[in-house]
Amino acid sequence: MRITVKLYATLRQYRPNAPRSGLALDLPAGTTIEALLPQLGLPDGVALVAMVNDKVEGLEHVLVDADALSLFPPVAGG
Amino acid sequence: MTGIGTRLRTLATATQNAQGEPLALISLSAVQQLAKESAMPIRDVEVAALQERVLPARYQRNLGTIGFEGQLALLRATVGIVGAGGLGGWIIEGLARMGVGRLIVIDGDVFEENNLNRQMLATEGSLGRPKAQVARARVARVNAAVEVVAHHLRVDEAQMVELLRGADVLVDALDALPTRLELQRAARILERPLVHGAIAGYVGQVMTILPGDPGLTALYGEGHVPERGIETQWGNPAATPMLVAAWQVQEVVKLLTGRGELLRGRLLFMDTETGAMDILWV
Repeated sequence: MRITVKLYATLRQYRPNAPRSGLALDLPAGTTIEALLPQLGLPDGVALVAMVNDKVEGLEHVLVDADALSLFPPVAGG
Repeated sequence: MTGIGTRLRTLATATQNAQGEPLALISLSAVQQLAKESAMPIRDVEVAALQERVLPARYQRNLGTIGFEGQLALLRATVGIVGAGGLGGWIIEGLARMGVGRLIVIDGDVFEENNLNRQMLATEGSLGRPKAQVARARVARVNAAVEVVAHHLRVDEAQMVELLRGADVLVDALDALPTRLELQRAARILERPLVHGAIAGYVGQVMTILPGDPGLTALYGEGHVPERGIETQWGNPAATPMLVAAWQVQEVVKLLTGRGELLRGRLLFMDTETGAMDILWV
């Protein structure tokens, strides 16, 4: 299956050459968000909020073909 | 009240709005005079004026978006703002200028030098002073119709519930995550909407959370949440709190006036590094 991944804010540093429209990735069916994180170069345990097709999902969420995954870091300043 | 109605109409000046329709305005000095004459708070004089369809001149540029009814709604409202720092300073300034009649401001900090790059209420002269008290003094100079109840306190959930009782809308201007979740729970207990805002470096986010909405727990879960976010790495430049605070002010105005569409169940994520804005469903 093919999905696109967009990394936001400080998460962009792990894939600095990613295009603005998102990284296109071919993945085995049944891949969870959690399983994908090391492949994106994200460090273990990095705090993030995951959105699939603009909707919040947990890291155990199973991705399907044509999903648009967006990963955000926590933003807590004020 | 008939006495004041007559006085108001006497003191009003007749003018026209941009469409050429008649508009009765009352000046700041006339409002102040009337407040002194009748021993009424300035806010009450302004409410009486609006009820007579006389517009305090200070609100003339509000009229096009919120109208007389909206201005009355703002003057009669109470908004609780938790945090008077980067976000809170601009939010308090904006709500005072719009004419929200009562602000409950809670902040346990005093101003430090590193606040000067971005916090509206931080001046070289206010360093070391409690933020909530500086907020009250600032509002008194910007709009004396607005009453500020200032609490120089670090508060937990129970204290939030106690101090924010009576507020129509609550505003998140905090700078840590766990306490934001406490504020969301307090808002749930008080059955009041909460306007969430947060900033970090180039980015910021805004969302309006109605009681019972998942809100921040949808984003961060109910288990352990980190104390802070990427603002520890990116800091906060001047533009970011201004940007997010402006959206929060407008969410409050929409909640109080019933106009427009809320960012409810929608997280507006703004990135000034890339010039991108995203709406995400929560």
